[in-house]
Amino acid sequence: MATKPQKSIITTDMCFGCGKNNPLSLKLNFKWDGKTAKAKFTPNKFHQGFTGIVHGGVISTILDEAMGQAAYRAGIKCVTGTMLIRFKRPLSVGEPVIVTASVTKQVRRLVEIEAKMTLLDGTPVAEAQATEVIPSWKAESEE
Amino acid sequence: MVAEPPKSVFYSDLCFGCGKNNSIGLKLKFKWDGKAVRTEFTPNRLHQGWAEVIHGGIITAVLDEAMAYAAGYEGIKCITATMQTRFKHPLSVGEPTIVTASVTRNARRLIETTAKMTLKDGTLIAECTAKQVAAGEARWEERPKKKSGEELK
Repeated sequence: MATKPQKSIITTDMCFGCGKNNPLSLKLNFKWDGKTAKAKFTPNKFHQGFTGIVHGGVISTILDEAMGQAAYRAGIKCVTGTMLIRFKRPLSVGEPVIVTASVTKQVRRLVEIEAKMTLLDGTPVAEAQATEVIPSWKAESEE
Repeated sequence: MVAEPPKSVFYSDLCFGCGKNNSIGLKLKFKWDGKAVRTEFTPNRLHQGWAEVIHGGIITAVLDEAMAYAAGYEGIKCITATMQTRFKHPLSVGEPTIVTASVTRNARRLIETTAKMTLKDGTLIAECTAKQVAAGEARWEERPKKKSGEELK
């Protein structure tokens, strides 16, 4: 690969959340209906924290990825500035969930995004709110 | 807030954060100085979000794990109820970081924790505060694949 910028905002197939060529990746595959990014995910035993309970960090990663995808599909490339996660219910290994995210507000370089994770029956698992930033280094490193 | 926190939870060697037998895990190892836990973490290319930039979710997972360990060393097993992460500086693939976490408030069932990740030169990458719910007493000898007290001070 050519000289890679140190801080780029370029998509990669090695992304931990969605990368098809990352063996560790969660391989989240989002659908976009013009407003909301949506994906289905079933955590396996490698995603646990305490025995049988999915790691809060993995749930956060899924929500963060969903929010990044929602912005990207809406035409915005941004990085997470602050992220608040509220866990509503412990998630067990093997329980399928639906994750949705959408951009709620954009003011110049600040983008507000919300995401939620529910069981298939709609039971809330976790919610996230993030303020994302369109980085100033984007211009220099744009592909 | 967690609707129904489990009454007891158990350590697993498959933990995404610290499990030795989790092939995709972060395999974090913490040291406790009596007040805070500390670990070093160098993200690799499998931890990217955007090309060359580490995924915010991975950073959050490292901080979450560190806070759970801090509570564990204080004798509490807990699960995260809310967590707020503030990202200060993008982290690149291969940049070594230092992660510290401690318990800031321990009020029976509700535990407040804080964690931060810095570069070796002290540059702040991210900081995090969390409210956790107690789910039993932490007994290190229960932990799989670890000798009793191995990591205690």
